[in-house]
Amino acid sequence: MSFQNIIDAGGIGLSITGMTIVFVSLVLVSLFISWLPKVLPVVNAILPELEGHHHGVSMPAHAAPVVAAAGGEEEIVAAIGFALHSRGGPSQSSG
Amino acid sequence: MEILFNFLKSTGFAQMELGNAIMILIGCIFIGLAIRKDYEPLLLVPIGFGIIVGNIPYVATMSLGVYDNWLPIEEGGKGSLQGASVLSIIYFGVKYGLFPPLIFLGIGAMTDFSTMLSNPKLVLLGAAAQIGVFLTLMGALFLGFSPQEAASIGIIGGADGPTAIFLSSQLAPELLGAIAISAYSYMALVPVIQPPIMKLLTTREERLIRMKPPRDVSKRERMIFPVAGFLICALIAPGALTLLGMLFFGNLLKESGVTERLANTARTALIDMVTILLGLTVGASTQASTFLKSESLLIFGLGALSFAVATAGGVLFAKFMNLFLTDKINPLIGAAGVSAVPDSARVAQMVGQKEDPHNMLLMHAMAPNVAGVIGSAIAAGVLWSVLVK
Repeated sequence: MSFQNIIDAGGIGLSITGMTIVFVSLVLVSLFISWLPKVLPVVNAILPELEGHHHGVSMPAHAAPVVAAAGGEEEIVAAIGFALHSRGGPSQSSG
Repeated sequence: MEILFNFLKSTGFAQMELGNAIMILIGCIFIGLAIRKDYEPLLLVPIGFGIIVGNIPYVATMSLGVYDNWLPIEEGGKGSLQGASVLSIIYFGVKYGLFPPLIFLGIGAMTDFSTMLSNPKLVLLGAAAQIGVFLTLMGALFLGFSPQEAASIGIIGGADGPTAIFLSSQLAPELLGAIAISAYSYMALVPVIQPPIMKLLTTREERLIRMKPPRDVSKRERMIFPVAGFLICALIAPGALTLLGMLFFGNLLKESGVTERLANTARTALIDMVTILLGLTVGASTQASTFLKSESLLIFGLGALSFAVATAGGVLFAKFMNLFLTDKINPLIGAAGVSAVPDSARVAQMVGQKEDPHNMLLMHAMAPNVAGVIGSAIAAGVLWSVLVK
């Protein structure tokens, strides 16, 4: 237990350097965030946001058939439900 | 009859030592704290149960613990699972730093950077709180730990369990169990540790400061930030590449608007699975023979110091910033710079509302809170780069 341990391991330099790097990184992030709203109008003028571009939910190609099948099942279930509803439905008839 | 006696000798009861019993009790306390006090239950229940699992004594020739050696790749290029246990295979994800980046992916997919983007000066509070990491590093060096061990202990002050596990797995794997337990224990105890320090360092007038509501942040800003933020941080501190890469990638999945399914998986199923595996095996790594040492007590002491200094650093830096600002910051939100998302932000809100029940600090506190996550990952990256053997 000794202050010499800190000096021998370069602890003071390491701490100052580390803290400085953390601060510099986050100051740059902070400056970028401050600067971003000023640049965005220019970016928007060059690259306008596409209407409805982000409304759909994309999926990886390998997942598409699975989801399509699920969609198909939902339609079938909806159709069965509608048919049962039109005929009074099992729960109503049994009750 | 001889078979029966041999079996009885192999039971946990026959081999139980005082250390195992103490650790099983600690595991039960963790579970109790999670259930009764609601302290970080998603972490403390798996860790607590893992402690119990890891401290059931068994016959040495059986492969049952996390430390049962196995080699994923031997020198000849062939892998070998001989001598492996289920727990040691799962522990591979902790030992080689696989789980923490996956947790960061989930955190990124959960995190909304809007409050930080609306008030960029609050990012600095996340940097100021990292003073706890570096002062504790010096404290650990003073006590005789090696630089690698001291850095791993210091990062507990980052209040970020995955970051602490990641760094200690790279620099001081022998201390991993104690550091992980210490980090998660103090994260769970944020509502107990932070309020007295926050009150001690602030006046009532300061705690009553109301901050301006944050501005609206456009979708495009939120989409650009993960890419730009990652580039800035990773180019400065490449050691933080894995953690920050996953954090910002997860956030891009969330904000891009076209990968909602992936973001949803990352923030729900994936992070839950990894949390279960990580919590259980980190708990199980606290076998009494490796955990109950004076070193572990020192690590716990230094961890508490680290949390306290980090909290004080954030609060004091907020007060310092107020000397130059016209729109004052409530210094309580500086305490949220220690990371521990979102508990430390909740604590800022809770302490603020004790003075003024209508003062909504939570949204403001989230800015230093997420900046603290980035700051602690950068600190870990810097320490890893400098101290890697």
